[in-house]
Amino acid sequence: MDAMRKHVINRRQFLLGSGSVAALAALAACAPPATGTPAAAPMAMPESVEVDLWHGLGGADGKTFTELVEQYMDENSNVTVNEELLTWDIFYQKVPSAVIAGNPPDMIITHEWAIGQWGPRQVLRSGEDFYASMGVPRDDFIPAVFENIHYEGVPLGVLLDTHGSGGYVNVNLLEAAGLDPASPPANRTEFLEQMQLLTLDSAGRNPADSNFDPEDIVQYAFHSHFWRRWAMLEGMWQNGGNTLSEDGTQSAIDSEPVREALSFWHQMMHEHHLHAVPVGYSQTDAYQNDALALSIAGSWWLNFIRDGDMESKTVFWRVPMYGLVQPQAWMSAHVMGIPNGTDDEGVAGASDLIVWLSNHGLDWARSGQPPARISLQNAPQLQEHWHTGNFGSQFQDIGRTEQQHANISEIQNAYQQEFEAVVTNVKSVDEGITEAHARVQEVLNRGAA
Amino acid sequence: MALKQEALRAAKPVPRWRKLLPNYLFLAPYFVFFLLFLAGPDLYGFYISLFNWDILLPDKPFVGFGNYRELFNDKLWWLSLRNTILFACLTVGGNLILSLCVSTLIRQRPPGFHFLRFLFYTPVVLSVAVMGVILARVLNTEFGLLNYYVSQLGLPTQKWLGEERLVIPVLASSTVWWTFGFPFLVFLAGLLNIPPPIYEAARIDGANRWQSFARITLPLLQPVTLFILVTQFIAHFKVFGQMWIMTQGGPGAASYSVVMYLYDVGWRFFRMGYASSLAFALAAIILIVTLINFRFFGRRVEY
Repeated sequence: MDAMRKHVINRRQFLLGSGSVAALAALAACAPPATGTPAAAPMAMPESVEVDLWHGLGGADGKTFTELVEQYMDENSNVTVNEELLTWDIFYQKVPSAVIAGNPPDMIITHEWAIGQWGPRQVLRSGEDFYASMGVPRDDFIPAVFENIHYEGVPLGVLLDTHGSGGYVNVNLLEAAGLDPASPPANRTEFLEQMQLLTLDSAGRNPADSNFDPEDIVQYAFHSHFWRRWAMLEGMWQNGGNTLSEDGTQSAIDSEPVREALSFWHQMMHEHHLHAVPVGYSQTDAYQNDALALSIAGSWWLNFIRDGDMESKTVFWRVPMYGLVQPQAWMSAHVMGIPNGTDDEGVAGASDLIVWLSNHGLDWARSGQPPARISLQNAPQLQEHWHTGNFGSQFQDIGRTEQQHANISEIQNAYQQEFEAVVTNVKSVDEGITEAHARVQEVLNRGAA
Repeated sequence: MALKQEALRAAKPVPRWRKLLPNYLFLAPYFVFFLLFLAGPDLYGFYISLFNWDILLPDKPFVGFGNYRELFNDKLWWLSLRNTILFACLTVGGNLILSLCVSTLIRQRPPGFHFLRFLFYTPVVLSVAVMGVILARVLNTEFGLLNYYVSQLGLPTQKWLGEERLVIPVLASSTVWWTFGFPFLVFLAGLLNIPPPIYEAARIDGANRWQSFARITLPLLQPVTLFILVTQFIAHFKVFGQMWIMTQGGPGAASYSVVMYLYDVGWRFFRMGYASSLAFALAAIILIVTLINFRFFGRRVEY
């Protein structure tokens, strides 16, 4: 009887045993993976290889990218590229999860501004081989952009393009207002004079008319595609300011250039009525329906303009001089990189595709995105293009990238929310500046990763 | 002798564990999954919340309850909590009143009863993405259907999703339209389960319709009401999709919910430790609200 009892499992033992097994399994599943091996030389191209590629090119440029991948597979029948399109939000969530889980894709396309946070977190392998042995020229990129894809002096990928903001002008609306689309404004005064003629209420009156009805606007003068970041950055840069101090340790948001820029944008929306309040407003619908004269949007808008049959009514303007000191236009870039943890075969396949894409910048330019390489940007066939050539020249002349930081997403989120609260009249300019400054400084005080 | 021993064995009571073993065996599969996918991750989440846990960095310093202390000074947490509570109260209140009214109206099985039941439930099957995109178009300031009809009526158009005072009520109303089909069905089932003789007896005793509703229907629906309150509060405290798609938390942070903040902190800012403490704080608040609901609506009413 006693011998038999030794084999009896009572309820407590059963629960304890099951719990222990489950807890151990859960802990094991959550254990961090072995770290990747950066900068290992890629193996020779295998006879047959699959490349898992994640990106977020879901805008108007996405269809050109898919065409390009198909072109690559036609030319390289031994390679299958499994393209996975994610929204950028999901992309930035899924990539770190995949790296932690030890199951990353073979290649990703990320943004230049994100390298500052990927670098210290070792998401990407070194891209040194591309420049040292695979023929990608280091000196053929816009220096400011190329510098931003380095972490501790090591490049973490290859630039695909240089993209950013620029002006799409509705020629018909400008001409109807008696303006010459070939004569863009050169400074803030001229800008305001021209824009004032382009906002109209339903009776055709503009804000300069005494009977203008701001509650009944049917056409706005201008709108910025991603107001919360690009427009604000351009405004403060053009005033000589920035979000952070040069060494990245102090918030510079409570400076006069930033305050002036935020006041300017608030006035554009609520006093001059030249720009719609950027919440619940569809810029694409407005531009397509001739209800918006100047659309400050991304260089990836070209396919949208083409698909909407709007090329004949659209000309390019550089980002207007809203500020008081110097012209500046926000620019960034797509970066092709290989995550840590990718196996040798994947590295080989992804490396080949990256070099191919880098060499085919002119094909990628069909999307409207100026290729990253300056030599390709300056190619005559591109320079003559009304859209892509002008975007490329603008970036080379007045383009500026956002300052890098290991916690850049949190910094962006902090000031964007506060600035939006100001332009939607949730907060005053002073309150917004004070709050944004405090929140950004709090992130900086917590220290870089 | 052998027969006697056999009889004794037969008469011997079955041990308690043998009686209960089948129960535990039936429970075991669920129990394992519960431990693996609920209790385990929950415990691990609490463990993470005690660290400064950047998911991608090898160094994860222990901070004890530092993340929880940080909550108290975090303005964005309090703002997002305020937004979430306001949204949950408006949505649950709206759902409760609307679903009770509609189910009461059609409990007498009017012509088209089945169609109406189908019609009211239909929005529930939409995904939050579909609902969000549709309503964002409807509520668009310049080109939205709602402002079109408002202007046709000669009324001033509104920035439905662009003004602080409007955004949460508008999001809550949109959510009520989307989700009220579920409490409606539950209320309808509860109403149809109330025995008609109770109403007949009340009518004979001289009760009017309102008295019958207030003294019979509402008390007898109390268990159903409790179920709806508890499940709806839990669901709407976790609001994410509508705000993510329709307002991205704006204007400013006027519609920024706790789960949006939690998502941002964890997945965009990589601060998993702090995100875990946000999750546990939210869970504690939901637990308190649930206990309050049980306290006020947990009484059983019998006639």
